[in-house]
Amino acid sequence: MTRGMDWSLLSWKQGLELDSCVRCGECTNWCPVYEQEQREEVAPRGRARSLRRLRGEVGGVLARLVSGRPLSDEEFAALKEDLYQCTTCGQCHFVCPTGIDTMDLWESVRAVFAAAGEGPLPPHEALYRNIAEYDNPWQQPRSSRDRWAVRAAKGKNAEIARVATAAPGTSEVLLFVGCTASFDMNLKQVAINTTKVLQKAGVDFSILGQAEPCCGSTMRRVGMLDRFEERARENIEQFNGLGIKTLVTSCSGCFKTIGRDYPKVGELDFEVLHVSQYLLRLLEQGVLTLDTEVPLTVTYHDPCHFGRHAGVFEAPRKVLGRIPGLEFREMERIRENSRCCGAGGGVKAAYPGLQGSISHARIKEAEATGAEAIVSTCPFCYQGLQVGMQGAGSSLRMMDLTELVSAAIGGTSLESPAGGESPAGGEPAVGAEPEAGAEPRTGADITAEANVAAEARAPADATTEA
Amino acid sequence: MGYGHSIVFYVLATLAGVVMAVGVAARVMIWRRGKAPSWHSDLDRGALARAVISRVLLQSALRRQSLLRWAMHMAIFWGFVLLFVESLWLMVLEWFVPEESGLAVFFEGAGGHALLNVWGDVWGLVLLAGLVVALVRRYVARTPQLETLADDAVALWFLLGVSLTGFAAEGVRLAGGGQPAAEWAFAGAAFTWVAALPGVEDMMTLFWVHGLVSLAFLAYIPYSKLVHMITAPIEISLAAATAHERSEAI
Repeated sequence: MTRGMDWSLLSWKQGLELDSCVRCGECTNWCPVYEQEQREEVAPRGRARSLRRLRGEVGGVLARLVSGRPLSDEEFAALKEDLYQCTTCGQCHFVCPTGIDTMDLWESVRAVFAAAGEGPLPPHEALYRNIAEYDNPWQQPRSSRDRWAVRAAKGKNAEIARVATAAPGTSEVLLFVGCTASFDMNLKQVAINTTKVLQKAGVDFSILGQAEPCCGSTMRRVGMLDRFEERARENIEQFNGLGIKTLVTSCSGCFKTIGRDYPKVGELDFEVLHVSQYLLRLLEQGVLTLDTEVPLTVTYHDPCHFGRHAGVFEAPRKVLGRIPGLEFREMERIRENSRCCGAGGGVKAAYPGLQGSISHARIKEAEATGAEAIVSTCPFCYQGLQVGMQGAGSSLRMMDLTELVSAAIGGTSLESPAGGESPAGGEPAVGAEPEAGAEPRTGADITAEANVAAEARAPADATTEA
Repeated sequence: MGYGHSIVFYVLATLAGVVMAVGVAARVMIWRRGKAPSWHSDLDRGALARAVISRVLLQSALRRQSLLRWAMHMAIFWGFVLLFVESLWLMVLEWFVPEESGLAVFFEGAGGHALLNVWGDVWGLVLLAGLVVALVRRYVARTPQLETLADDAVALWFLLGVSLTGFAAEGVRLAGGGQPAAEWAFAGAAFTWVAALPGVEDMMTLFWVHGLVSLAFLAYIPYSKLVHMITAPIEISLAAATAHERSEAI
């Protein structure tokens, strides 16, 4: 039985990688999923073995001789589940003595499964439908994508009104907010704080408003390769058409996707920076100064897609190090060995219980530092870690780096944490049908609502529908 | 070894080589099914060279994780490699080096025998020590991260068989007396008692046992986890040579 798997979707090197596992089991000491499940099959070692057996089903006697016994139907069904229990955190790559590039390998294997109709899982399909119909996985109407800016403009954050919607040639810097910070009311503060800080530094930047597309990270992570590439191509065309020099994002998932995955699909005419990298650049240039004391003890959580996947560990730590009054304490597992929050790779959507357990372990580690707050640079990790906090009954405070930086420029009072409710209870909407009548609005509409006419650049015609 | 024996041995060695080559070819055919582009194609040759020295030959990644595991694997790796080199050298001496050459004369003499005896015993003991640690970890200490499937067990016991039959063959050879530089075969001397076992009085018996076990081991490599002897150095080198594409952007 070949089960319709098209192994040509892997590269030859990935084929070799599956044969490079020495079965030392080091990955089992670090894998966040194995730590919770204690099942060999979910560990990278066990998965690699099952995949070798599955792969050997194609190719005749010789292929079977070197691959082992074919999988039974039960084993195949279990492998499919186990494959999607992986958070794609990339920890196994860094502890593997052979250095197998598991970060790409697991996603590519998922693409093989998806192409054969054996993946992704139903919750992931629901997320895809949301992205296709709403341009975000949260099943929120496109018209509410820029609500954070509109509300901020109407409220005490009136300075947000100066944010303009991007149009070709208007700004060299584009702030790409990302779906999670745009739609989760608990995380809108990330977008607001980023805006405040950039404005304080005098950066000429704009946002895409309702025309901001979903980056498509979810599709790439769960193996919907064709759909991801289609979206990536559309987005690249949109971004390149803006004439920007720098795309700045406050989301690590978007950063990894646009900065690391998009170049495999098409050429980008601009640099992609995470906001922490951009802020560090501004600080080093002396354009931005942090002069307000922030008397807080914090620890930092390395998002997997920012750290292990993109190799950025220093920038956020350097920014934290420049905040006056801040005491910084490292957790036991950091940088390449940082524990995952459990939310990535589609696990939060498909296995919320598992995600909660993984997150709980990270929160316990953060608590052991004696810090008052855990800081991250990824809205999705923010959500994921909050699940662990609730589970642990933790008194830790979850913060985004931009909140601290905003406080350090005197822009935010730490006594007033972000409030509000997540539009979907902190989970991407995986079960509901799309909302009727959610007509997308143009960038010009946003501009009007936000009362930005005075300082706005030309209203956007970048209303590309994804 | 008589000419007839020698011919039979090399025929069997060729057969083992063919079985091994078929297994490797089967693996390569599977890899070549992959048609997707390798994203990481910009190889850093300097990093590749450094990785070969540091991560393949010195196994630095393992050293950072566990000194014991590093020492164990280094012992098995270098013990096996350097004994294999000795076997290849003996074959080269027999078939390709003219008998009247200085090199052949040296290795026919006491000095050459002493060198080969010491080389074989030292690296044989190193290999054996590594295997003992591996066995203790797997079967006595039952290290939690180790999962023992048939493949894991066969690979380990096979290698142990190669090592012990080698020492036994040497012990029987020494027990027969008249060997040049026998005093340098300090480890083999501890195995002369094997000659007293029934059926192994003839040196050739254990030579054949050791030879066949070794050839079977080589043939088994691509059909087992031992294939990492081929794939791991390639993967380690490529991973290091493409790491810059994942490096910090600022």
